[in-house]
Amino acid sequence: MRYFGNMSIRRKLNLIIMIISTVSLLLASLAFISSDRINTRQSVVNNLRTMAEVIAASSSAAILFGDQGAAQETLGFLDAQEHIEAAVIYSAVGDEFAVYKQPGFTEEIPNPGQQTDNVLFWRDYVELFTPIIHEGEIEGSVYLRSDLRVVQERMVWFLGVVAGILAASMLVTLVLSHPMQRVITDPLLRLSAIARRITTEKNYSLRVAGECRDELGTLIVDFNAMLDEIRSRDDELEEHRTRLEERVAQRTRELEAANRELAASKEQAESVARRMEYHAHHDALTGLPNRVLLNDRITNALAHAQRQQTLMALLFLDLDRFKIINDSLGHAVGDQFLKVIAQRIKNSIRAEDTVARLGGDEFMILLPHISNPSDAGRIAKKITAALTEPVTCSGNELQITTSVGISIYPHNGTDLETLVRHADISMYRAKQLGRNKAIYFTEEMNAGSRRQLELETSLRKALDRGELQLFYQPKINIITDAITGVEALLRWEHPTMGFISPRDFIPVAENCGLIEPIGEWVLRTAFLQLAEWRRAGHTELTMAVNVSSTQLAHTGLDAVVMKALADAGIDAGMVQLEITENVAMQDLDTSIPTLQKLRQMGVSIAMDDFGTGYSSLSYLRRLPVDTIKIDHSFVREIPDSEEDIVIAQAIIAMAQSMHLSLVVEGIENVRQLNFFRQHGCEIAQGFLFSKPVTAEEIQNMLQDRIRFCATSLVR
Amino acid sequence: MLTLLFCAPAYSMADDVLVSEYRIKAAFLYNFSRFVIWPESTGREHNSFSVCVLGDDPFGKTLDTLEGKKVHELELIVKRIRDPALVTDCQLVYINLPDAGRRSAALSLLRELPVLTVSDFEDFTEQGGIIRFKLMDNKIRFDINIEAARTANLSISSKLLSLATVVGESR
Repeated sequence: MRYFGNMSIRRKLNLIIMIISTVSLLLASLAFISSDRINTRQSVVNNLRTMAEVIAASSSAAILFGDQGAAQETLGFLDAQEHIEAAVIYSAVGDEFAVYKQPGFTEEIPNPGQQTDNVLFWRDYVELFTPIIHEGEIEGSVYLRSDLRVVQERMVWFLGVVAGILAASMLVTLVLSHPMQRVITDPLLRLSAIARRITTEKNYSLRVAGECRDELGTLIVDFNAMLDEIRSRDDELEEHRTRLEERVAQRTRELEAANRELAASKEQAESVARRMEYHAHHDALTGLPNRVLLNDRITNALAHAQRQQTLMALLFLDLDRFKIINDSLGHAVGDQFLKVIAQRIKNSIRAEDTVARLGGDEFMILLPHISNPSDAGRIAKKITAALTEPVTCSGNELQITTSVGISIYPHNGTDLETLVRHADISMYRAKQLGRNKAIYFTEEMNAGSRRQLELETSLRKALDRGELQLFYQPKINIITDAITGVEALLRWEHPTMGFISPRDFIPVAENCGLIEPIGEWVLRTAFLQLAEWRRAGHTELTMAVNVSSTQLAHTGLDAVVMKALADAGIDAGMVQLEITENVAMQDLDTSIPTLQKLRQMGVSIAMDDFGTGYSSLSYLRRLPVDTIKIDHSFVREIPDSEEDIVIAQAIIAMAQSMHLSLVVEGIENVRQLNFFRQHGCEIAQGFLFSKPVTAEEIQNMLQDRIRFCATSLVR
Repeated sequence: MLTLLFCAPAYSMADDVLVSEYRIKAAFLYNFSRFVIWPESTGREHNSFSVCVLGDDPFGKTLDTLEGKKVHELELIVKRIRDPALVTDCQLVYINLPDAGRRSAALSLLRELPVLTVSDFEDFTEQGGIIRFKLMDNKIRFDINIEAARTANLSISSKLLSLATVVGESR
């Protein structure tokens, strides 16, 4: 079977055809031979019967008339019948009446007995008994025995013929099957040849030719269809590949573009960082170093001076009556004027000297190397001379004088704070002495400046007299247009000096230890006010209170806050303390635990004036802060200043990434409002909505449910 | 059974010819009748087939045993007749008339009648008789005058003729 399985189809077909033709021929022959054998035997019997009848007919008279000779004669013709081996005519009683035997036949002739009219077949011969009947009477019987040579000969002859036909048909089959089986094998061979070519050449455009409609034709058609399918798949694949390559190329381009953008944005971010860094160390208005940078440089200079045993000077510089310019011509003119002043100071000093703006109209100049103290006075004079030159500003010609206080290392102090304070005191002395002067510090000044004493005295009385007052600026949810809370702002109305800015009296209060009672008063007042509003039904309102550096440095702040909350009966969650960056940075070791305690109580902490101080992320991360307030200095120019937009966006993104709440300060117009609204800010405060107002006015606003944003949009 | 009865003596003829001769001949008479065909009407009026002995009866009782047999579907009866004029009703007549003149007269009387004539006399066929018994090699054989049979309007089977010596053909 395995051998058969390994044969080629051609051979298999040959073999099958041969086997089938042989078997069918053999079967046919067998049927024919056996049929012929039956026929032949029948014909032998018929022949015998005829003979017997002839003998019977012609011997009946002989038997009746006892004529054995005649009977013998009737058997005479059997001589010519080679196949008759013996013949006997029996009388009615069964005696042999006449007998014929072939020469050489010696076998016993059986007695007929009762066997009349019977045929007996034996292997080599056949016997026949036939009664002799005359006119209905049985007169005797005839026995005939014939050999079966005829049958056998015919058989042999037929077998020969069959063998011949078989051989001939085999031959014919062999000859015919070769071309006939090609009908089947040729398409198969074509198919297999094409399949092999396709495998070796990878050429799927090849097709198998074939027109027959049988199964092979179907196979070829299917095969071709399969090739079509493969080809179309190939094409599709190729197309996909091309498309994929295109897409990859496009992606690569996009990626490159994105990389460029990223690089650009990185650059931008770096520039923002640089800018932030710059902002952290420089005054936003004039571009001069700020107090932070100044302190840094003073510290360095001090170290250097100590090592080199050299002199160093600090010049505290304050413009005389600058407030008049600001109040009469407006902030814009004042700012512009300050810029010119800053530039003039810068031009008047040496490259190694540092001029810093401390805020408002105050400047500090560091002269790290001076040969003797008079150098400081000379430079101070040079500066004051430069500043007395008139300044043309927005069509106004302005002239101003300057008061300068000078402190010298190591004569007036060996540490930063002392030197700064002494420079400050001497500056006040210069003012007291009629302004437009530069004054060296002297020890008698240390007793305290008159102003400070004045303020101190007034401030001590102020609390008792009720001169201190809290104003409140609403914080607006610019999405829902509702007041979410207020920021408490301290006001001091001096009976003679009028409104005094917290910027002016808070440092005094810090210096003379009044900050704690004042701070506590602020907290209690604000919390009691909040409690009152809550009782009036404004339960969602929050209260923000500013906390100074001294307050924060004092370890009892958390206890003070807790007591104030308890006394007012309000939840810590409704209260927010606002600290400035600089405040927080001054004593991290004390401030951070205090802030953490406050937060654990539920008080939230806001970083005020964000972006103006140590706006370094690493610092911010260390501080337990919930909210940052974008300083109004970044808001002012939006949306006109690209830089400010970038900074604002960076701060917003940062706040979002650090999950910090954001409050925008100093919203003054609708464009600013829209900008921050678009950038996802929720809480804002500013003059657009409301300036700081009294508690009564806040109460009215809350009751009237003023729609700030809607009204502002109309505006 | 009858055949057995008549055929059995044939084997012992050589020993006892005279004793059994007429028994055989009686059987032959019957056998003759079975190989001869009479005209259609013969014997129909009496519905019988008459076997007659004209003259002395040499068969004795053996002939009587034939009575009742069927010949051509007719019942065989045996008649013994002295007067030749009476034999015309017979279908087969065994003539045992020693006198030649009388035999001849009887034969001429029967010449054109469908009667099968049988006799032992040597010149019987020449006188116009149809079958004459004779002995050959101690076996009973017979001559048949085919012409006489034709004249008598009798048809004799070729089987019978093949056993007989046929005479009178030339005439």
